[in-house]
Amino acid sequence: MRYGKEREYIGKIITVILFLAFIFGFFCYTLVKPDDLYSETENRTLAERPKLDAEGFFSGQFMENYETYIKDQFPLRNRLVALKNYAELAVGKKELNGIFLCKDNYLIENHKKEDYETERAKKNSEAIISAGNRWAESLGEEHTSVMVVPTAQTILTDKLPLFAQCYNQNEYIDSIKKGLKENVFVDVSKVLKEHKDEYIYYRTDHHWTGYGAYLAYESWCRLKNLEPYAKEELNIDTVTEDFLGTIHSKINISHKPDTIEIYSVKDYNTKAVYNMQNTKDTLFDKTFLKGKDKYGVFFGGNQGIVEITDNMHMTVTDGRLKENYNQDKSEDILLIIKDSYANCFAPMTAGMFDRIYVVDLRYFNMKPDVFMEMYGVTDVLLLYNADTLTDDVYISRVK
Amino acid sequence: MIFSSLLFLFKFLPIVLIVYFIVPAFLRNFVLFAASLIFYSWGEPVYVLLMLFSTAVDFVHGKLVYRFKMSGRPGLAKAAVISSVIINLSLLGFFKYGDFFLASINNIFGVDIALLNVALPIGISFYTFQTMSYSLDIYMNDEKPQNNIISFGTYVALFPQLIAGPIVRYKDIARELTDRKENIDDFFIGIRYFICGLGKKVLLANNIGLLWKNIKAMEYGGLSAAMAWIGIIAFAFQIYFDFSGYSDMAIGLGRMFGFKFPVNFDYPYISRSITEFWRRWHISLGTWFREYVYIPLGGNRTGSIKHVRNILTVWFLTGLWHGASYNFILWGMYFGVILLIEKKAGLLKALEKLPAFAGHIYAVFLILAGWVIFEFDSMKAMGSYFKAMFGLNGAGFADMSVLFTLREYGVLFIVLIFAATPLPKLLMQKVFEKNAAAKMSFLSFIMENAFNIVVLALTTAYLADASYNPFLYFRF
Repeated sequence: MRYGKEREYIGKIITVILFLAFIFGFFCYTLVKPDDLYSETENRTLAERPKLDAEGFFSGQFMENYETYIKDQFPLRNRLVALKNYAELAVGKKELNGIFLCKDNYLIENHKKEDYETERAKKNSEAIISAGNRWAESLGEEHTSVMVVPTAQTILTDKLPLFAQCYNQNEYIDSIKKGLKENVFVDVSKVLKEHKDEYIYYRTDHHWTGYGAYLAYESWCRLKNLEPYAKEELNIDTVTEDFLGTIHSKINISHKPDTIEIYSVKDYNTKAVYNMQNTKDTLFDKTFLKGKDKYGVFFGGNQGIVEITDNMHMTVTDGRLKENYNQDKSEDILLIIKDSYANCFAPMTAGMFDRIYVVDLRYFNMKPDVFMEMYGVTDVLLLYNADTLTDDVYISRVK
Repeated sequence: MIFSSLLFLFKFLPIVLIVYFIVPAFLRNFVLFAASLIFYSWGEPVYVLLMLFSTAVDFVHGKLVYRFKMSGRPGLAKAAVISSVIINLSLLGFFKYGDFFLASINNIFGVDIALLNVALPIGISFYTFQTMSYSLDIYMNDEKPQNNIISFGTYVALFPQLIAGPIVRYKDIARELTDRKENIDDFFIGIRYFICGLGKKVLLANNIGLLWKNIKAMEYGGLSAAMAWIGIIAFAFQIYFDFSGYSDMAIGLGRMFGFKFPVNFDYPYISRSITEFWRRWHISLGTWFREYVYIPLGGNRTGSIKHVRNILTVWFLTGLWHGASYNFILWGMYFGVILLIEKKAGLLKALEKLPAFAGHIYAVFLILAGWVIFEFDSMKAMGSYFKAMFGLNGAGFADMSVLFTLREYGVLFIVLIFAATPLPKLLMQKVFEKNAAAKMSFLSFIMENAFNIVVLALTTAYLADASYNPFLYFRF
């Protein structure tokens, strides 16, 4: 009996020690761990230690910031997030953080109906409609294109887990289509749906693949009576087979990586001016393939403005003045106003126009209409994926 | 600060534990008091003064009540108690019910009195009830006043039970305040309670709460009946595991420091009547109202009419205690009336004769309907939700999203149902008893520690991921 009591006591001590070891272990770890500035997996800057002052303290702002700071800088955070998601998997969950675990290793993020019914989503669709119709008026319908691309949640519905449903973005996209003049809107839903069993979206990232973009490119050319490059006229390079994208980052469990294929025009002597200053002979930056954000291989990430032409043409860095640009309207100039969905699309347009401007309104300050006037733009393509329109605050500048 | 946060678990608690156990015994109350003030200031950097004010007022009143009582001046003693109660209720009235009262007046008389727009101090309903119990215990229950203001401050502000209970009456821990012995046995039991509570809150309540949050945000006109029921069942589980989890954590933390707080929840969802439910739900609040309202009013010994009055008074106040809004009053009165019917109309006796499952269905149905009243402070939303539950909105019985929800949450629901019954506890006892000969058998030892580590690790993971982690008692 005495022996049992003693053993019981020792057992309790061990339990107490384990508990204390756990909380003190993390406590000490937080003390010695240096702060990280940036999270590669999440692609965002992390909170820094807030400064304590009277105002921050009495308003409670300091406490709020401090808790965010602790959360952001918590040791082993990525692993803990993964642990949480494994636990969710263990209880049979198929939806983690709004992401469905789908067939064929697809991760599909579901943006809900409510996201498309916000004030912002409505404003953006109105801005696009009014801009599209205005440009159709000034440049002509055959020179004006609006393409709003549905994401995997609308196209790859066959891959969703049993009973799962996603919001059909075509409801929103069709409202834009209806508002626009005929033949301005490039409807790519149908062609993407026809190829739903092929590799048209990344499994782990929110973007479409080079092939998905190529299908949309063909539809656009057909609608605008342009001659698309055949696949044989394009270089299709597999640049990585080890791409884990943004959707994967949100759940961080081990997963089959994606392959990135670059579609680019064969034998085209690219001359590209990045942000009006740096001239390069390529639209791709392969250094991004070594990091986490591999989709950045296209243009080296989102750039404010990139001018694409070939070495037969002068550019601003060659000493050509802005005012001379296309004064005599002899050049065909395409302006692509876009989000990152166009980054793998735009390189396929090289050589189809004398020059192409690829503009990302998030990083480019001029009003598109002013720019078009100044640079003598003859054709315009507005290309966004539907999700961007739910929360982007810059698109309204096209209005 | 809330227990279920990285800050509390991995900064505040380790530091407090170290300091508390390093300092000599006579400084420990001071350490707890100081820690509690920091804990409270973290959420209420200004209102902490209010709590200190309430503490000082009751400390003085307690002394006065005792002195008058001992020197044979009961009239003055009574006056002092009344003064203490009035001050506490005024605080509560001003900060919690002021705007509700003014808005009601504006509403009824069509006037336009400007609202106070004061924010509700966290935990005010808990600590004012505790401080009131102090003066009342001295007056009614021959408790002696506390001579040390630090010890008294510790009682009021004690961080384990400060913001979400249990409501500890002064007489429950009067002795432990001045004379307690911390030891391994209590610390061990404290850990057991704390980890169970943490798991209940973070792993069970938060997860099922997410489902309720999503369903609650839907359009009720198109909500299928099955989904509406799933929603309110999810809420029932959320509030139970959240609230009882919080209480368990409080009890566990208290135990680590040598305090024995009363049990607050006793498997309420296995009840077979509403009377039984309220004996098992938020026990410390029920006890408080019984002790300081129901019994002083005469309880059930004053004749039938007055008994009815007493019950309805208690339930009106119980409802109102949960928040300054009509739906809480309605919720309290709803249970008051059901309890009256059970007691006075013989329903309770009838239920006892029926098979157990009939009682369970009856109780669960009424409890769930009660949660709908509890959750919607807009009568219109409450009405539409009830309509959805009974298919009166024409949205049908079920749709595809119901199937998906069941598929997603099926396992969790099974775990929740299991965990809401005493079965896990009984099962554990079986395991322990089987090995009783060896007292602490190797198997049960491994099981307990593995359970602790798994729950701690998973909780940390959920907290690190910034998962849904609401604090439900900001209206109490």
